Amino acid sequence: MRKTRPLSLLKTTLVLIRKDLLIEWRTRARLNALVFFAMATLLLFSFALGPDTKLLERNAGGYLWLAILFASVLSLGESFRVETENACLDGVRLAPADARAIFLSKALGNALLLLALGVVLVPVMVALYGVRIVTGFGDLASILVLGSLALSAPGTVYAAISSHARARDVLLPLLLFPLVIPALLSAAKGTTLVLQGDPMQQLGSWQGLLLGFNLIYWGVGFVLFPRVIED
Amino acid sequence: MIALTSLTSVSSLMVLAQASSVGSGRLVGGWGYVGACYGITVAAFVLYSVSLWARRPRAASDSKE
Amino acid sequence: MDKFVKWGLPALTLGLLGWGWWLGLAWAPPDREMGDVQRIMYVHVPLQWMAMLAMFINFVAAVTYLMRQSWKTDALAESAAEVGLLFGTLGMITGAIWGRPTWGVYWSWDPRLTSEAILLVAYTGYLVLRRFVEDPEKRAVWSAVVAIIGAINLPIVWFSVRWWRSLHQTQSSPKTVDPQMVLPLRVAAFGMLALMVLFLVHRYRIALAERRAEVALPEALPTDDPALRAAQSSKVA
Repeated sequence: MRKTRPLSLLKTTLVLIRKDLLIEWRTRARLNALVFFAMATLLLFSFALGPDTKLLERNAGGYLWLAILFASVLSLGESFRVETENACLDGVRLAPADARAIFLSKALGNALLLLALGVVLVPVMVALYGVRIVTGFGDLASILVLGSLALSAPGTVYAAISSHARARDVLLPLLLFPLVIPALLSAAKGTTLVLQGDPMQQLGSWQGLLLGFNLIYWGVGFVLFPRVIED
Repeated sequence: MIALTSLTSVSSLMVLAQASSVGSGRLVGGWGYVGACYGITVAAFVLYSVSLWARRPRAASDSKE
Repeated sequence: MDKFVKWGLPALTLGLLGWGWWLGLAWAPPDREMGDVQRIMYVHVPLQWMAMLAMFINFVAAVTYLMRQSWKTDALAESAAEVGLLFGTLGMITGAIWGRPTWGVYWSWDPRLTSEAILLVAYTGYLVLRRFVEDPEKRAVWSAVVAIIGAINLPIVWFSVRWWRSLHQTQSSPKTVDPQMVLPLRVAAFGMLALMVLFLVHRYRIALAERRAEVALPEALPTDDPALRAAQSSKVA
């Protein structure tokens, strides 16, 4: 494996993130579509479950994270479709950019997107489901950040794989959903605790689980991603 | 080689046998459940063997699926 | 070796499984609490063990493939995943049937069952991915990556599901197994092992033949034949 100084890796990552965010900003259509898609999902949960406000209130955390998860599948798939369209990824690799920097930039970019989505969705959720943020915004922010990071690290690896396969729209969720169950579970649990109060001090352990999940999959992705996009 | 690693792994997996039966309450009968379990398992094994035989190499060129 | 696989292994499988299940169904005493239903253990538990073993073989083959490319480990990984999926699915079905009289429900969100269901979905994804990628070399690398990530995920899933459940109900405690139940279990497990090896060998041959057919051009990929590989590298040089 090539030797890269950490600093140059970081610099490449930042350049690539800026490139991705710039593309994102120029079009903006994708972010808008994602936000409306996720809002529609939140709205549909209340229709699917009927007008039982108690039920909606109790499960609000779970619905929020399901909406983010569904949106993440779309955004992850899209972020690699953009690259494969004109064989851009090959161009970036020939630049030459370290494959690990590509992983970091893609995963961080997606995490930022999901985080922005989460920030937009929280007020919608509060309004739709009639919940209150009990333990404070700091806790909620930490869960949102950790959850977005946890969804995007394995998601980036799998999106890179499925973007070259047939039937990629089916393949990505099929691969990703079983994998992110621990992250989904702990993010939803954590959010529910934030919304309903945490008398038994369980929030810390769910945050810990999310943190561990992040550490493992950012590490695994960092090591394995270069093998995924090599020729 | 496979068989050898399998054998050593099995002995370590044996430990897990202790943890594998759960439940409480007194039960009488229930042979239907037992029969269903063994029946389904044997049937699935037979079906899989047939599928392996159908996919066997060097048969016809249409052996793939 | 070939003769053993063709005749000895099937005979061994039938003999051990038949003996073990006869012991389990007729010779072993019924369980004190679960009665005759407990006899499901002699098919359920070996199935689960062999599923775990097959998944472990799949993981090892995937890691080996990433370290040194070879069609053999790729074929082994593919066959172990398929056989493991078969055994795991059967293990889950028998577990659910066992759960009906014991817990009163087919599905209890027991951490072990739940984690296994997640694992089976993950390996279904693995096999679907293999179907959907045409380039054999890319397919091998990608599926190896997916297999490794899936295997790493298993303990995380197990802990998180157990944690998630433990906030609602207490864990069912393991109980000791009667010594008269150990012998049938052991025999049935070895019978199941023989069956798994038998399936694995045959599935492996199919997979290897498919790979060979796919890469009809030998120079396209590193072969497992050392002589061929030497010839290839000299040609490149």
